[in-house]
Amino acid sequence: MKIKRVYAVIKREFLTSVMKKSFLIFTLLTPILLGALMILPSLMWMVKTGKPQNIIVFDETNSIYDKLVLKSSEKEAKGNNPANATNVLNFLKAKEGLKIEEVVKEISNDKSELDSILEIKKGEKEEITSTFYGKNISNIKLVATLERLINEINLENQLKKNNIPDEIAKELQKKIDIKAIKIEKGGKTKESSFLKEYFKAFIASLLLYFLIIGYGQTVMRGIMEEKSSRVVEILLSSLKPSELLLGKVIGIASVGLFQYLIWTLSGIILFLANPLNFTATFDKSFIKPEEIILFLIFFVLGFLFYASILAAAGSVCSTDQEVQQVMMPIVIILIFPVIFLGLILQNPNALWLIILSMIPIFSPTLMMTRLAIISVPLWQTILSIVCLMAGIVFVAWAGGKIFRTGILMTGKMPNLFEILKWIKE
Amino acid sequence: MDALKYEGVSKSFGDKNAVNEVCFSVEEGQIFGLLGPNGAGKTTLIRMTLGIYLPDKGFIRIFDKSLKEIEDRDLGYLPEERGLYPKMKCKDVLSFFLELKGFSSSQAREKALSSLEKVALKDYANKRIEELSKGMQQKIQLLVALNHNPKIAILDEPFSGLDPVNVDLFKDLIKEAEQNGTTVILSSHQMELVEQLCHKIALINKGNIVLNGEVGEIKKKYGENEVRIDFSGKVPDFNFGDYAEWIKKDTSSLKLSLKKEFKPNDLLEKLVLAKFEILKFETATASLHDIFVKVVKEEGGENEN
Repeated sequence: MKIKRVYAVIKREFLTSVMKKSFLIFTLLTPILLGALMILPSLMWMVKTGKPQNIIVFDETNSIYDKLVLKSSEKEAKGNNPANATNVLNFLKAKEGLKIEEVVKEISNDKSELDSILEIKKGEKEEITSTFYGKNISNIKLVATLERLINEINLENQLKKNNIPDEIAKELQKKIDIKAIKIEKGGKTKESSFLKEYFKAFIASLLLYFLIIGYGQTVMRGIMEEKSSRVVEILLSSLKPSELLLGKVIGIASVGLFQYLIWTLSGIILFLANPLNFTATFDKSFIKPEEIILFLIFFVLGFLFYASILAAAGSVCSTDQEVQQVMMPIVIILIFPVIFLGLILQNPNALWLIILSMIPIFSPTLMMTRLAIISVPLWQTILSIVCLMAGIVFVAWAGGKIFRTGILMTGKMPNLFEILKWIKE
Repeated sequence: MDALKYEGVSKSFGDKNAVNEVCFSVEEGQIFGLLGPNGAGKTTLIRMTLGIYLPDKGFIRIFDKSLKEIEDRDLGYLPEERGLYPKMKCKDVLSFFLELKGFSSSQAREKALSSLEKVALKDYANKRIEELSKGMQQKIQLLVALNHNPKIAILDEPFSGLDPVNVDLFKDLIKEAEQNGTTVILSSHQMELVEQLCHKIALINKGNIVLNGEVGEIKKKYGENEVRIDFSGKVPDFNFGDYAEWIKKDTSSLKLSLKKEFKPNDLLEKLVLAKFEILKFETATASLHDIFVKVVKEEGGENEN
């Protein structure tokens, strides 16, 4: 092993990757995309996408319709439109004697200006029941909005009817929020919310996934290209396969770290400069320094683990299609914690999750997700890292053997049995 | 000392014997021609020399050391199937390969630029490999093989696809390498170039060495004495058959192959004495090309592949 030659490979890999336009684009675009992923859903929630809804109201009680109109226009005026509905709501009062069946018939006609019917009935014991008729009843938000409005009005009416004093009425109408406090190691507590935790876990696992897949694929494609362009023959006349493999993996890992450094630094600068009032949303303890370091450790180890596998895989491929084929199962394994994030959030300490987060193929993204949500016992973190390191040693050994043979093979891709034979040799 | 020595080297792929018990050696400082039809086993032999393949049997010694004993393989290689990084700039490619051979980055950069100047590609230093023409790429490829003044350079088909100007340039560069002490293994199908450049050759066919030795000796041994005579009138009546293995006759000229016991002068003397008017009397020893074709055909024709 000659360090000088390994260094020459590292340097080439680093410089050619960093000088590429795609590096610049990816470095700039990723934070923007992640930001968009966070902001877009709430934006979509707020934007009124649909056309105005014309709702005809059959009000048997005669005490709800007026308030319905009033409340919905009040909220519209306040800016928070009728409790988040996607559509502007126009209420019309049904004329005396008009039958619901007639209106149903009219709405079924495409030219009708009416969209839906809201029926409010009074039962024998004065209880209120309500029915919504519409061509599209999958608009959950619309129905939920109507439900909430009617409930609010009903409560008001009932309070007034029973002569409850105003102060008590007000108190009863107040919504009570539950504040969530997270208990951390050493008895420290931290105010947080489901959304924040979810967001952090989501970003952590997704970012790690992108980094490992992105850079793993770079290693794989680079090797496949060197193989198909025959550069590898000249390379191997100058250095050993193990030197080439090591140089490539370290070279591309350092590109990833460099990118991560750029993101972290710009994140810190953005946080300190605070132009978008980040600190209001995310207090300083949102991301702790040890989390950044753990992320770094899991990125480097996860990358080394997957890069060794992908490098070996790349050495047996000679076309892009073959690369895609081999890539597929690895992508699925890595994205696993992102897909099952909901499940993990519910019970991040489930036994099966603890076991899975010790297994190297899952541990990088899964452990990172768990670390972002809860205080993982230290022994688990350490055991997970140790297992991952052992995994790296194994795949580097086996991968190196496959690489040595595969890199000079041409023609048909070898099958799994042949590859296992190379490892045994 | 022998720069390279093959001792009973064999290699097979599956049930196909690519190289079979090959023995020959290459003296230091020579240009050595490794010839053979397509699929004869040349590339396999070269790859074993580079340590890319391991021989099944036998030894390859480089300056009396086995491949395993050599930590720094001081080799230069131009593969038959060309390989360079298409997206990299010319000067960066050259620097990279120099650095792999142990040059410091500043030395490598300097050497890369000066070598580009030598092959008239200085203006292309910052161009990417894929932007270059085939011939230009081949120049870069040759520089990659020779730039670090290797002890041994293996050039697999360096001339294929080159125009005559560049063929001359390549010849000069190869000769220059020889003068700098590099032992050059040259594999080529262009026999006249091999004749011009090489001292010794080995001809490999179906994995076996079928000819090995100095170019002159081989030509003497295998060559025929061909004579071509132009007369000022019709070809006269003369018993050419006594002197020739075979004769090809035109109206005013004739081509024949002299029997072994005669020299061209013997025939010329007879013709002059007979007072025939001769416009041109030309002798030609058989070319390496003819020998190649003859030997390979005798050995049982072309290889598959």
